[in-house]
Amino acid sequence: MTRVVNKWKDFVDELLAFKWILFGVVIYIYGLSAKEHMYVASLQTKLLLNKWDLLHKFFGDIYLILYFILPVFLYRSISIMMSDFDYAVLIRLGSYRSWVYATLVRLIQSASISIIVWGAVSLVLSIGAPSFAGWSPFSRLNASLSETQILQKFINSPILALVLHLALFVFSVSCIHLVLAILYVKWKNKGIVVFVAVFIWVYGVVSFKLLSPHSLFNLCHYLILHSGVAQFSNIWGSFAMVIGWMILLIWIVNRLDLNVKGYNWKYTAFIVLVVLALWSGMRENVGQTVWDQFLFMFIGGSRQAFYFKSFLCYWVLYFGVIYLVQLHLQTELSEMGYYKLVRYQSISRWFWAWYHKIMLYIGLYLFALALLALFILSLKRFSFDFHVSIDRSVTLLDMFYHFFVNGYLQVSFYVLFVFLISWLSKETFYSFVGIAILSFFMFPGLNNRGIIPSGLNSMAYLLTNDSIYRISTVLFLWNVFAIVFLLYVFSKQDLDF
Amino acid sequence: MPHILLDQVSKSFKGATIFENVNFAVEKGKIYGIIGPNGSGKSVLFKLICGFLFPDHGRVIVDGEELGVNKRFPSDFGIIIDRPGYIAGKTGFDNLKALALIRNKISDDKIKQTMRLVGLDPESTQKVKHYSLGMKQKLAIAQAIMEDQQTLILDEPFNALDADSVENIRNLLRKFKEEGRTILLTSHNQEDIDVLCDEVYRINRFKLEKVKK
Ligand SMILES: Nc1ncnc2c1ncn2[C@@H]1O[C@H](COP(=O)(O)OP(=O)(O)OP(=O)(O)O)[C@@H](O)[C@H]1O
Ligand SMILES: [Mg+2]
Repeated sequence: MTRVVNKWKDFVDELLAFKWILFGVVIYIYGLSAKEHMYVASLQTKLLLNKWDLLHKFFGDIYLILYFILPVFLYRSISIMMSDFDYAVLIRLGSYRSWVYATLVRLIQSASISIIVWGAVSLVLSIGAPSFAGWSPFSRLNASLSETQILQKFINSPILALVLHLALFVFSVSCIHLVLAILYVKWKNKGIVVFVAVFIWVYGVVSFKLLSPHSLFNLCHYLILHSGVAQFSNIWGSFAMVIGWMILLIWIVNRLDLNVKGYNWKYTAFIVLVVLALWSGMRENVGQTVWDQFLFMFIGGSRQAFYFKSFLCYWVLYFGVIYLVQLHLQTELSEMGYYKLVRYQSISRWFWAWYHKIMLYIGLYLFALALLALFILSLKRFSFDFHVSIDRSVTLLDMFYHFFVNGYLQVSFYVLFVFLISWLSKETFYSFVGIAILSFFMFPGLNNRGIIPSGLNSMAYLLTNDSIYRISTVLFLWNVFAIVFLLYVFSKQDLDF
Repeated sequence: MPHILLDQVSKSFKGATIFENVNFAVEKGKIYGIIGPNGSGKSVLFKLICGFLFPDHGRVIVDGEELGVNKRFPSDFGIIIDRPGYIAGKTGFDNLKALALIRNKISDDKIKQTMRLVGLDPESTQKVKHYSLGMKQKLAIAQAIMEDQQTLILDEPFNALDADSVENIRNLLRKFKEEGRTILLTSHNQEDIDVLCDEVYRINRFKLEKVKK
C-alpha cells in the first residue's frame, strides 16, 4: 500500500517539477498565438470552430512539435540513457535488451507526463471556445487551414483522431529512442548518440522546410497525424511505416546481446555513407564529362543554388569527417592530454603537434575523396574529356583549386572551430551543436555575402560569379583568426581537466 | 561442472594482446584472488566474466550457459567494476534504492541493514556527491551484496578503505564464503590476497597462472 502511495507521490512530484512547468509555459505562450491564428481563420471563413479545432491545433502544430517538442524528447531520451548506463544497473537487468526496454519505459513515462501537461495547458487555452460537439463547421471546410480540416475528411470522431495522433507520436518517438539506444549499446559513445540526435532533429526541420510536402522522406509525416494523412490520403500509411520501423528495430534490439564477431563499424559506416553521398551526387542527365559529375558530387550549396540532397551529401562528406576528427580529439584530450601536456610544457606546442597531424590527414582525406569520386565515375560511361561542359567559363584548374585549396582551408577551419568549442566547453556535445549551427548557414539566404565560413568550398560557388580567390582569402582569414583566438585562449585558461 | 569457465579465451584491443587462449575454472564456494601489475588485464578478465566484453575467440560459460548465446549477463552476480555511476544529487540510501527497484526483491530494511554492515549511516541525508572516496567505495560494496548475490566479482574492493573497514569487509567476505558464496577479487595488497583467498592466480604473459600458496 505504502509502495503504491509512494509511487503516486513520486509521479506527482515529477509532474510539478520545475521543468514541466517550464514545458507548459512554452506551450502556453505558443498556444496563445496559435489560437489567435485559428480565430482569424474562423472569422475569415465565417465558419464556427470549436474546442476540437483548438486541441488539435495545440497537439498537432508542426512548428511546435518540430522546434520544441521533438528536441525536448530527444534530450530526454539521451539523458535517460546516460543516467541508466552503468555496470551495476546492467548486471541487474541481465541483458542489453532489457536495458533498452527499461529506458524505453522510462521515456514513455516521461512522455505520458508531458502529454498530461500538454493537454492541461491546451484545455486551459481552449477555455471560452464553443464546446466539444463533433467536428466543427470550420473543420468541415474543404481546405487545409487547420489540422482538423485535414483530419475531418478521414476520421469520424475528433477524439479518435486525437488519440491516434498521440499514439503515432509516441510510436515515432519510441522508434527514435530505440535507434539512439541501439547506437549507444553498440558503440558506448555519447558523442555518436548526440550527433545522431542532432542529425535527426536537423533532418526533421530541413525535410519539412525544404523537401516537397509530398516527399516520403519528410519526417513530419511520421510524427504528426494530419501531415501523414495528407501524404498518404489515409490514416494508416504513417502507422504502417512507423510500425515497420519499429519491427525492424525490435529485431535489432533482440540481437544486441549476441556474440557476433564484429569489426570496426564506425569507419565502415562512414565509408558507406561517403560512397552513397558521392553516388547520389551524380546527375547523369546533366553534364557529359567526368568533370561535370565531379563538380556535382561536391556541389554543396551556394547562395544562389540550394538543393537539400546536395546539402545532405555535403554534410556527410565534410561534417562527417569532422566527426571522426572530433572522436580522435576526444580520446587525445581525455586519455592522454594531460600527461602529454606536461611533457610539451606549453599548450600551444602540444596543439601544434596535434594540428600538424590533422593538417596532413585533411590533405590525405581530400585526395582520397577525389580518387574515390573518380573511381565511382569510371564505373559509369562519362566522357573523360578535359573540360567542364555545363559551364564553359569554369576551367579544370579552377575546379581543382577550389576543391583542394578552398576545401583544405574550409575543413581546416571546421577542425579549429570544433577544437575551440570542445576546449572551451570540455564537452563533446557542444561541438556537435556548434557544427549543427554552423551548417545551418549553408541554407539559402543566411550567408549572402559569403563571409561566414560554412560550406564555402561547395562546388556550387564555381557556378556563381563569386571569385574563388576571394573565398580563399575569406577562409584564410578565418583560419588565422581561429588560431589567434586559440592561442589567446590557451594563454588565458588554466590547465584543468 | 565449474561455476564459471573460460574456455580458450583470447582478447586483444587494437592489436594489444591482453589474453591468449586462457582456460580458467571457478568452483562454487571459494574465494579467488587475481593478481597482476597495472594494465595486465584484471579488470578486463572481470568484464569478460560478466559479459560486458566478449572474447575475440573462445567462450565464457557461467552455470553451463555460454554468454552471448541465450544469455548476456550472468544472473545473481554482485559486482564492483569501475566505480558505479551514482546519482550524485541523491543520498546513499536513495542510490541503493534505485538499484534495488530494478529487481524489486528486497525491502528498504534490507538496504539499511546492508549499509550498516559496510559501515555507512542509512539515515544520513548527505548526498553522494559529498561522499568521501572511502564512503563511495562502501556504497559500491553495499550494492554488490545487498541482494544476497551468490557470486561476487569485486575489482579492488579494499581501495580507499581505512584499516578498520578493511578488517570489517574481510570478515564479511569470510562469512559469505562460509555461506557457500563464490568470490573473485583483485587487490594490489598482498595481505588481502594472503589472508582471504583459497586460490590465487597471476596474469602472466597473457595467461592465468596458478600461484602456489
Ligand atoms: N575498452 C577498452 N578498449 C581498449 N583498451 C582497453 C579497454 N579496456 C581495457 N583496455 C586495455 O587493456 C589493458 C588491461 O586493462 P585492465 O583495466 O584490465 O588492467 P588492470 O589489470 O585492471 O589494471 P589495474 O591494476 O590498473 O586496475 C590496459 O592496457 C587497458 O588499456
Ligand atoms: Mg583494474
